[in-house]
Amino acid sequence: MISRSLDISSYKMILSECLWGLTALGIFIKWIMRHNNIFKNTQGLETAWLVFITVLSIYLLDHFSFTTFLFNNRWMVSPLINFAKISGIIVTFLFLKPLEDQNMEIYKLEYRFLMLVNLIGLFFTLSSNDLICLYLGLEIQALCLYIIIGIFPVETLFKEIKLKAFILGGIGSAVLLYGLSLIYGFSGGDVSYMAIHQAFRTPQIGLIAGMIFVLTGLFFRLSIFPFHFGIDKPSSRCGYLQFSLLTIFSTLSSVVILVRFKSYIFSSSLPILYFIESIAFLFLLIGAFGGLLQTKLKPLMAYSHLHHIGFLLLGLLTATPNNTGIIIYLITYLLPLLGSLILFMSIKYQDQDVESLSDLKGLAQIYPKVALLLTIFLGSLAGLPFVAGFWGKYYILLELMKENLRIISVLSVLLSLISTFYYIRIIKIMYFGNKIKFIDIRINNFSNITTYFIFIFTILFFFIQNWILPYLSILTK
Amino acid sequence: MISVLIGLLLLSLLTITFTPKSQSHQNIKWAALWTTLVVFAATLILWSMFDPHASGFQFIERHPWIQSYGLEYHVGIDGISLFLILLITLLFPIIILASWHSIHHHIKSYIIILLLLELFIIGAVSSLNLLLFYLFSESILLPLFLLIGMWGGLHKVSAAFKVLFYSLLGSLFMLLTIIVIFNYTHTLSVSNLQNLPFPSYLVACLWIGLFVAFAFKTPLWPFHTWLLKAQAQAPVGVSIILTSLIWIMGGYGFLRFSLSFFSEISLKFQPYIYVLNIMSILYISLITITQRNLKKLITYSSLLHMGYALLGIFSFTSHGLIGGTFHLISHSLTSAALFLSIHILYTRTHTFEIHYYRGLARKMPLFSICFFILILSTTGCPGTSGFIGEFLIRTGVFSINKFWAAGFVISLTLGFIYGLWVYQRMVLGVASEEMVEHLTPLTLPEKLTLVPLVLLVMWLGIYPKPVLKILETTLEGSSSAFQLSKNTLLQKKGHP
Repeated sequence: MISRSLDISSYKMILSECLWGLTALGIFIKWIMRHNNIFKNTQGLETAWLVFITVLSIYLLDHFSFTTFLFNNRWMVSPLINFAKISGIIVTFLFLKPLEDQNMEIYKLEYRFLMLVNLIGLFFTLSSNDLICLYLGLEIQALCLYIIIGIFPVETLFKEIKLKAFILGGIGSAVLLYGLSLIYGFSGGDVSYMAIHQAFRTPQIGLIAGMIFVLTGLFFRLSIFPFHFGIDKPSSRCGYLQFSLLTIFSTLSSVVILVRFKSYIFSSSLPILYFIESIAFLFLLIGAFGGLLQTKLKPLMAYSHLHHIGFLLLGLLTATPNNTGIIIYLITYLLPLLGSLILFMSIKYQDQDVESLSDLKGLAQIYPKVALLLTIFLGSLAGLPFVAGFWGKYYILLELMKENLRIISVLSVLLSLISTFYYIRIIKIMYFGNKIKFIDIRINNFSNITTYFIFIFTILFFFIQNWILPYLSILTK
Repeated sequence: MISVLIGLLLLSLLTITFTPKSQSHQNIKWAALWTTLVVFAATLILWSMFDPHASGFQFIERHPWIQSYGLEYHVGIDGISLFLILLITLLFPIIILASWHSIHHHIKSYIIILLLLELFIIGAVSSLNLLLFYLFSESILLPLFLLIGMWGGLHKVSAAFKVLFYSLLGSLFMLLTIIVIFNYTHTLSVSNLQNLPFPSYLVACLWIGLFVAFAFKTPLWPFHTWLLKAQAQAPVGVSIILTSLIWIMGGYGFLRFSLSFFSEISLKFQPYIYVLNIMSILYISLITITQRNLKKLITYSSLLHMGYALLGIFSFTSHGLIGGTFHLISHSLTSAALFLSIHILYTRTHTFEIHYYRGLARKMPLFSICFFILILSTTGCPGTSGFIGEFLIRTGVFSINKFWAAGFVISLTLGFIYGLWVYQRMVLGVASEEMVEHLTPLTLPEKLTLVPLVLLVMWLGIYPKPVLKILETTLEGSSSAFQLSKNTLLQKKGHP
C-alpha cells in the first residue's frame, strides 16, 4: 500500500543526496542568471560550498551501517551503495576542477551543472530498488554524459561522436526496456526487485530471457558492452576527461547494480550465471587482444577497461556476502586508473592531448617523476607485485579457485598476461625512447596532489592493506 | 638478521634516490659500491653466527602480514640459502665495479635498479613463505626489463620483452599453484607444507605448475630461449645477473619448494626429468662446441651446467643433492667470472667473435692464467670448484642408473672438448698485428674483480669442506625424507 504522507524520516536518510540536488539547482540558477550582478564574485563561495558538502556527504554516507529500504521500498541504502556513492562524489569533485585549465570558461557553469545532475543520476541508479527507477537513473546519467562528451570537442568530428554515443545508448535503452517489459509480464505486473526475486523462485523462460535482455541493455548502456565499434572510435575522439567520466561512472554503477542483481534476484539461476561467466570471458578476451595492436592511447585504455570489467564480473560470480573481492578490485583498479588518466590529461604533446603512444617517447628523460608515477599506476593496472593492483587479481583468483572454477581462472591468468603486454609497452616507450622536446606537463596543484596521494596509496595499499581495510566501513559492517 | 640486510639496502636505495641532481655520478657509484660491500660484510657476519651443526632454519623472523591471503613476513636461512646469499652479496660489488666504466648514461637509475634487484633476490632466497617468494621473484622482472631495455645492445627491446614475458608466463602458473595450495591448506609457510596429503590428481598439476615456473627461471631446455636472446643484448652486469643469480632462484625453487612439498610426486616424475635433462645436456654440449661467438658459448655452457645441477638435485641421493647444490654455487661463481673476463676482452677489441682472438697469452699473461682456471672449472677439472660438484653429481647419478650416468659422462667429455678448444684457439698461438695494438694487460679494477673470483673458484676446488659440511647437515634432513618416500614408493610397487 503506497502511503501518501510525507515521509520525513526517509528524507533524513538521504540528506546528502538532497544537498547535492539543491546544489545542482543552485548552480542551474546561477547559470541562468549569469549576467545578473548578484552572482558576481561568488566563485569563492561556490568552491567553499562544494568542498563543504563533499566532506559532509562523505561523512554522512560513511555512517550508514545497515541496509534499509525507504520510500515504500523504492529506495535502498546499504554500505556497498554508499561506498559507490562516495566514490562517485569524490570523482565528481575531482573533475569539477581540472576543467578550468582548459580555457573553457564559458562552459564552466553548464559543465558543473551537468556533472552534478550526472551524480544525481548515479544516486538514482545505485539506490533504485526497481527496474523503472534504475532505468530513470541510467537515462539521467546518459543524457548528461552525451552532452559532456559533445560539449568540448577535441576534433572537428565531434558531431559523429555525439551521434554515435547517442544511437548506441538508444539501442541499449531499447534492449533494456524490452527486457523490462518481458519481466513485467512474467512476474505478474511488478518490477520491484522483491517481486522479481519472488518470481525467480519458479523461473520461466520468459523471465530468464527478460533478465538477459536487461543485463545486455545494461552492459550496452554503460558503454561496456559495445565492443570495438563502441569503445574504439568514440573513446579515441573524446577527451581524457570525458573518457574518465565514462569509464569510472559506468564501472561504479554497473558493478553495484550487478552485485545487487546477483544477491537479490538471480543468485541461483544457472543460465544467467553462465551468461555472466561467458560475458566475463569475452570481456577478458577482447580486452586482452584488442589492446595489443593499438597505437593510440585512449582505445588502449578502453580495451584495458574492458579487460578489468571482465575480472570484476568474475569477482561477481564468486562474491561473498560482503563482496570483499569486488571492493578490493574496485579500489585497486579505479584509483590507479584515475591517477593515470589525470597524468595523461596533463601531458601535452605539441600543445595537444597525447593521442598516439609514440607521443610519450622519452618522457622518462624529461619528466622522470611523471614517468615513475605512470609506471607505478600502469604496473598496478597490470597486477604486478608490490603495487596495489596485485591484490585485486589475487583475491578474485583465490575466490575462483575456491569455487572450483579452474578453467576460467587459468584462462583469465593467461589473458591477463597478454594484457600486461600493453601496459609494459607504454612503460617501454616512456623509458627506452629518445628524448622528444615537444612534451610538456600542464597540471594544477590540486591534480598534482591527487596523483601523489594515489601514488602513495597504490604502494602503501600493497603493504598495509591489513590496517587500511578495517577502516573501510563497508567491509566491516 | 635478514631484515638488517634488507633494511640496509632499502636505506641506501632511499638515500641514492633522493640525492640531489648536483651530486656527481662518481659519488653515486661509490655510495652503491660501499653499500654492497657493507651488505657483503654483514653476510659474512651472518655466516660467522650461523650454527653449522643445526639442520633447520636459523635467524627466523616471522610476522603476520595479510593472513587472509596466507602472506606472512617469514624469512630465515638454512645452509643452502646461507651460501646463496653469500654469493649474491659477493657478486653485486663486482657487478658494480664491472659496469663502472661501461655504463655511460642514466647512471643513477642503473644503480637504483641494481640495488633493487639485490634486495629482491636476497628476499626471494631467504623467504620461507611461498607467496613471499613469489612476490620477490616476480618483482625482479620489471627492473630486469628496464636494465636490458635501457642499457642493452642493438636489439635490446625485443630481448627485454622476451625476458619479461617468458618469466611472467612461468610465474603465473606458480601463482595459480600457490592459490590452490592455499585453498587446501590455509597456510603458505614452508615449515607447515612438507609432504601434504593432496588428492593425487591435483598433486601432479601442482607439481607441474611449480616445475614450469622454475624451469623458466633456471632456464631448463626447452624453456631457455629467452636467455640466449637476453644474453646477446645484455651489458656485462646484467649478463652476470641473468646467468649467475636468476638461475640460482630457479634451482633454489626446485630445492626448497618442488622437492620438499611434493617429494613423492617428484620421485615419480624423476625419469621424465632425467630423460629431458640428459637429452638437453647432450644436445647443448654439441651446440656449444659449434659456437663461434664467445658470449653465446659461455651462455650455452651455463645452460649445460644448469642441467648438471638439476641432474644432481633430482637424483634424490644425498651425494647428488649436495653435489647439485654445490654446483649451483660453484658454477654461478665460474660463469660470473667468465662473463667478466669476456667483458674485459670486449672492452679492448669490441668483438665476441672467437676467430678474432689468438695468442692472448703473450700480451695478457695474468688474464690467460685466470681464463685457464675458469675454463678448467667449467670442464670439471680437479683442483677447481667445478670438479667437486660434478664428481658428487656423477656419484649420485651413477647410484641410481648407469645409463643416465653414461649420458652425463659423455656430456662432460664434450665439455672438455669445447673448453680446451676455445682456450687453444684464443689464448695460444701468435697474435695478429691488428690485435696486438688493442690488447693491453689487466688494469687494477679489472684485477680487483677477476682475481678474487678465480681464487675463490680454486679455494672451493681445493678445500670445499666448510661449504660441504654445512650443506650436508642441511640436506641430510631433506635427503632422508626422500629416502623415506622412495622406500614407501618401492613398497607400494611390491619390492622389499
